[in-house]
Amino acid sequence: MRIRDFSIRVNLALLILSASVLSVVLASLGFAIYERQSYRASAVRELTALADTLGANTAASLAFNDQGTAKQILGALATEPHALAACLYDNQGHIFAEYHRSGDQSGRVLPARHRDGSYFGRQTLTLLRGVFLNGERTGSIVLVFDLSDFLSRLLDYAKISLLVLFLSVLATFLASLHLARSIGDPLAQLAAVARRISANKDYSLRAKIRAGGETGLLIASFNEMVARIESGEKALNDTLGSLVESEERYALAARGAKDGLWDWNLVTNEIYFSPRWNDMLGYLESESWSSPEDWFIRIHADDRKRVLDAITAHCSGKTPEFVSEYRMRHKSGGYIWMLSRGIAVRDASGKAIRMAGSQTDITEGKIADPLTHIPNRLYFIDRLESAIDIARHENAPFAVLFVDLDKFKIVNDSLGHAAGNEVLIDVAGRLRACIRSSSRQNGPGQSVVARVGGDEFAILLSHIQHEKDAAVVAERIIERLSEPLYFEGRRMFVSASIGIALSSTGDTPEDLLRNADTAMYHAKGNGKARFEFFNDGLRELVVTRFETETGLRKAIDEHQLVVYYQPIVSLRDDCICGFEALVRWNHPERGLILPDEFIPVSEESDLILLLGSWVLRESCRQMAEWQKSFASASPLSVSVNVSFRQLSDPGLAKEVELALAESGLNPKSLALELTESSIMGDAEQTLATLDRLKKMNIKLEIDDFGTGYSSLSYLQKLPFDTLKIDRSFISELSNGTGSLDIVKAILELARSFRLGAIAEGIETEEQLESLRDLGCNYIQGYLFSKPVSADEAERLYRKTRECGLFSSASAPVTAGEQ
Amino acid sequence: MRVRISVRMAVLLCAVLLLSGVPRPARTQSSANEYQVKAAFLFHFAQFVEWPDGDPSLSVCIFSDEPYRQEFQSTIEGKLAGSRVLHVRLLSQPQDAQRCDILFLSRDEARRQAAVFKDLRGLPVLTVGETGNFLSDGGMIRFHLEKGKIRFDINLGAADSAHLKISSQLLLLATSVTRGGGMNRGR
Repeated sequence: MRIRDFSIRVNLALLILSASVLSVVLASLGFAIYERQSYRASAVRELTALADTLGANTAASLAFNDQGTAKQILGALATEPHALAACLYDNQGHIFAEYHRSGDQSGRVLPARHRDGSYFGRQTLTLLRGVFLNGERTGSIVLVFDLSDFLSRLLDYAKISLLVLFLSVLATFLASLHLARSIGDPLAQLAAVARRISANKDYSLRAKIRAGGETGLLIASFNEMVARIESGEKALNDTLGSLVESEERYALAARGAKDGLWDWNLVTNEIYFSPRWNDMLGYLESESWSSPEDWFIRIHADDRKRVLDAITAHCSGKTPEFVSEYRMRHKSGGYIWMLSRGIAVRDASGKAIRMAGSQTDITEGKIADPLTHIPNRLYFIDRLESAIDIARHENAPFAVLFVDLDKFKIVNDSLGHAAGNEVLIDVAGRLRACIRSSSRQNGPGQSVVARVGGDEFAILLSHIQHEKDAAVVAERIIERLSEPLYFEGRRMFVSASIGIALSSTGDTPEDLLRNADTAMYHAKGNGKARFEFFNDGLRELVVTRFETETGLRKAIDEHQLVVYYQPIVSLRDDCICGFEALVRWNHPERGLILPDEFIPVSEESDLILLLGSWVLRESCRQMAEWQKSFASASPLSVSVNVSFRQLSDPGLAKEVELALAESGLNPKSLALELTESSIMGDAEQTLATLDRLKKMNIKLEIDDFGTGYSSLSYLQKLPFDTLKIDRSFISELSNGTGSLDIVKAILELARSFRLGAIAEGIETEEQLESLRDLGCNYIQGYLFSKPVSADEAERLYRKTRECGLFSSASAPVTAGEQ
Repeated sequence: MRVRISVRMAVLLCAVLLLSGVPRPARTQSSANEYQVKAAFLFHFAQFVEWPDGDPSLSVCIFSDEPYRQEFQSTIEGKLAGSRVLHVRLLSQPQDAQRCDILFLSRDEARRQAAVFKDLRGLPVLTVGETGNFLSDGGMIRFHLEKGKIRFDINLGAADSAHLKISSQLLLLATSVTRGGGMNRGR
């Protein structure tokens, strides 16, 4: 460790100490040397004087050769304690007289060899002087003196010096301590604070040290400096913090949303994909993709152009942001749905130079049915597509099952949506269970259960070699669904009709699904809760149906449709009081086609709305015309059938208004016939529509009363005017099966609800008489007239108005269509 | 020191008594050396004695019949004592001595010494002799032999009477110092 490594305090103390030691040592040394010199000088001086005195005193002795006296004189030195020896020599160098202190052995000095002067030995001083008599040298005298006393004095002096040295060092040390404390301590504390600040990066620390002078100035400047750093740091941290925070927030949000991020430099055409972006597609996060091609090449071929167009549109400034949904190929081979949003950064000229955004996996939302959490139609089609693709390359036949719940509408309507939803969830679970167990039997497959409509499910059964395999699954499904399910303690039964289409029957997902649907309809038609395979016969049916649909569309446009009218007869006066409008298709090749053949087809599409609208308007127009021709106290009325599709269409009331306005027909002359099942549809919507129609003073009739699953409560709840007793009750009136009681009860019911009643399908006099007996006021049927063209109907009315319907025994019309 | 002087005095007395009857020795080689030393002593005496007059020359007188006058002349003549030059004068008659500064009387002049002293009374002449009764007769410095070495005694009283100041150093070297004409001792 070198000196500059010590603390300033130690350095200071060392400096002061060494300076004081040095000065004291130097002073002591100087004094010692001076002391020695001056002592020596004085010793020589004294001794010289002594020697000269002795010399003078012994000069006479020498002159008179008196050795005794000389010796006596020298002997006087005994009184001088430091004199060790004295020797008197004559001019010839012979010893003339000498003196030796007792015990002293110091040698003699021969004057011949030495010049006069003083000689210092270790502890002695030897002096050689001449002896003169009257200015003539007569001899020499040598004196030897002991200096040990002087040396001990010098030693004492040195001891005192040491003591002084020690005391001064001590004093200096104490002084330096004080000095070090007053200078070194504040600096040391300042250094400690500085060290703490730099170690902890805590710029809020301040040196709280009291000191004056330059140290105080230094501390104040230091604090000021730290304060500046702190405020600078704080400003920097605030900026940095908010920056980091927003960056973190975004990163967190992106991670939380499980979004992949991309950042595309449009100038260099390099693109950055976040690790999550790769991960979403099943690739390693470290995959180093840098080209936009890595992205676009994985987009589904059908979606790619759309995505690129959207990017181009945004870059050229046509759209405020880039948003696109598309499928991307996952590493595993399948496609996943992505939603990408991005925004471009533009230079001063508005040219896009960079574009960045996110990519979110929306497959779940895209493919899953939110209620049952099983795949939806979209996903099913997608899977069906890949299944078809696989089947095309390998021999991997599969089957599509279309499952439709029987009478689900009734459950939904009578128990509410919650119950309906519960049923759907339950059914979805059961179907999946069935598929799982079948998958086990058939090996690893990609069988899928999806909800493709309200109460419609579709199943893709992979690895189906024979019809039998699919039939096994279908049977199991029917069996499984026959088990009761419970909702709020209520026990319910559902059943389903299943149509099965094998992969060989179609080339596209739509084909296969439609084929299965067709087979399902067939199964339903054959008695429900069963399954049917799609076959060539059904294919013909489908073809026919398709042709019917296209033809019907054409028929509306080309006015091939005609309205036929069947009279409704009042038994009070046996007169025609109105007509039921019935549509006929006057096909140019097939002749007149009855509605049974084309109405169900039209009900599968919106064609029924078009058709219904046309019938309504034509009927109103015709009736208005008749009313003008046959002014009467009780004007004729017309009843028009409204299908459930029309009733659930919110535009129905508007349609009716329009028809009335066009024709100028009094609303009271218009009656709408609704089936019980159509009324049970969307209860709220239906009620609102019916109310609105009722307020227009239009009559509402319940068609086919007694055949549907209806609760009687709606008779009170809904604003109906008339019941139409179903023909099945009438036709059995005469064979004693109890129908009489049913009709009687229905008429009682109508009376108690203050509703009118019309009996349909009267074919015989007996039926007529029975109804007359039961008090039924209005009848309709072949007994009186089959539905006839408008011209025929007019002629019929004109004839009966004058003479009464039953004035002659013969029925005017008896034969014809059923 | 007093004690030692007393002892010395006793020894001196004995020696004086022993020597008084000794006949004058003939001139020999050893005697020649002796008188050469004595001549040197005379020269040295001149250095330790102060005369009342400041004459630049100093007369050292010996009688002309002095057998060792040769030694005296060779040793003393022309020498400087301080600033004074020494000359040797040969006296033929005792009366001539009044003009001397130092007068040496050898053993052979013993018969004349009383007369000489009578003539020189009160005159600043340093008298140096050899005879046993030289000092008691009124002489000032007397030589004698001690263990073969020439030593001297001083009669301070006589010197004082002659207004001569003898240096204390010389007195220190004297074997004995008497005061007055008699046997006064000490300095």
